[in-house]
Amino acid sequence: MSRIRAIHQALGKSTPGYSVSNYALTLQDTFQQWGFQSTIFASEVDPVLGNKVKPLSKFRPRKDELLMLHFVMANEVTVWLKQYPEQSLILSYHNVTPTHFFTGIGGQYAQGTRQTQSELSAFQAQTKLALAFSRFSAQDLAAAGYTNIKTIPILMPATLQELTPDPDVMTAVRTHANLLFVGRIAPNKRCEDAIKILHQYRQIEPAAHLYLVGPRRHARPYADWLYDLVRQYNLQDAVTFTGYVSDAELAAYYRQADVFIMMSEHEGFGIPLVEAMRFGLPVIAYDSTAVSETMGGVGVLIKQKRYDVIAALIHEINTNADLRRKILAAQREHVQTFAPERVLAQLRAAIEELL
Amino acid sequence: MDTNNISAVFEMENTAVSPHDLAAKITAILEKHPLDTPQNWPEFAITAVSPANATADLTDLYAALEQAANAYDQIWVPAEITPSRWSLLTRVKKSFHQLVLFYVNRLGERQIKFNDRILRAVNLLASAQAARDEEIISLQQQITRLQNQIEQQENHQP
Repeated sequence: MSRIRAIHQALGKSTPGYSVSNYALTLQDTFQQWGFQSTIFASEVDPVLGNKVKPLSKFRPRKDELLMLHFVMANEVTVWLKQYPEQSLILSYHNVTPTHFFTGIGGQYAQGTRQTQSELSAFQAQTKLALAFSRFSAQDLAAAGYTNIKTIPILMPATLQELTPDPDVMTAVRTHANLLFVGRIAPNKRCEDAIKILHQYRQIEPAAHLYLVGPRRHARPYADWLYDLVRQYNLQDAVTFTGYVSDAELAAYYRQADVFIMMSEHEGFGIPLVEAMRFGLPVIAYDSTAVSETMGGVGVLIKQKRYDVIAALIHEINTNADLRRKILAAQREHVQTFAPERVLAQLRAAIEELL
Repeated sequence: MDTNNISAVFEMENTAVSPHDLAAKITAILEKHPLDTPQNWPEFAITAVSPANATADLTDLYAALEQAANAYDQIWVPAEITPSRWSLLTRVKKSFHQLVLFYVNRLGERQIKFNDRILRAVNLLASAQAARDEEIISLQQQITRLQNQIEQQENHQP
């Protein structure tokens, strides 16, 4: 690869554990292995990452360098980047949750998503390559005026399964009829559907437990409403909100779960669907946005939110070993689509076209 | 229970699994375990009540009113943190801005929660009222029908 000497990256927050930040760090290693210089510039730099990440103010535009913008929402980075309209970009689109999902959350978040949707087209002229993780996300980019769009799944190193699962979680989580959801506790994720399914499922399997694994800080009024819902149906002992967890803890939750459920109504890709498949969990997911694309015809796709039927379906999967084995066999094959070496080959081919 | 209705709930492209057989097994499970399924599940986003989606459960109304009463006075801003005036001006500005945002957000969240309770309570009241209205209309129609019948019978009497 010649002429382009560096591929840098720009993002908002750079913190260990934050998915976009982790993704940028993985890409940084990759770009360096491919022979490019690569620095991450962020509006917030965690001191732990000080040697890998620099503040935005240190960035200097150059014609023989590319800057990958991780577009998550309208933020300090998108405002900052507008001062460099000549800088060639690779736009990595992480998808934006539509504003209507934040009804009931409050002004700031809804306002942020509204600005984001109008901000997306701002970098169209200087973008040489626009990357979407799904065909669903690619549609947003096309609607915003982007032309050179490539759909490449998100790069997910298979490191989570290799971790030693957290022993405390392994002990604390019971090993029978555990339902698992992983993701932000936000209205578009429809965590209440998982609670409603549990309400039904416990009438068949009284020991069933639901683990909602993910940070709650993004939409506290929604999280508070979920707590009320749990109380309303007397499920306090049957639902666990873990909040943010470490990778080792996350690995333990995946290992101890029996079924993974995701009733989300907006996913730009759905990383936990792939993680759950990698951990050998049967996946049940609602057919919305990019979900069916990521599922690729395996697992069980929910078309109607009939909680009683879904509860019975979970019971069948948990008690019918033959059905479970068939579901897992298909998932194991499909998950190879997201193998890091395959994704890296697609990414490299897309970048080589720019050189 | 109709197996076709059950199989419409989910989709499996896995050729090793027969969706029809799976739907039959689910039907059998639901027949063995008749589930208590609420008619109207609570939803997070509040939708205005109309006669079409009205429910008239006064237990829910009192629960919503009690929650509103518990939350209504929780709007306050603690002021124990004061930003240092010896930091660099920009840092102070930024910190102060973040501090203001932090508290305003907290205040907003509480206000939203209170509003949420009130709105749910009012919704339930409206829902109950809508159900009463329908009942009144139905009774009025019944009265009119009976009055017509009486008039007809009186006219036919010699």
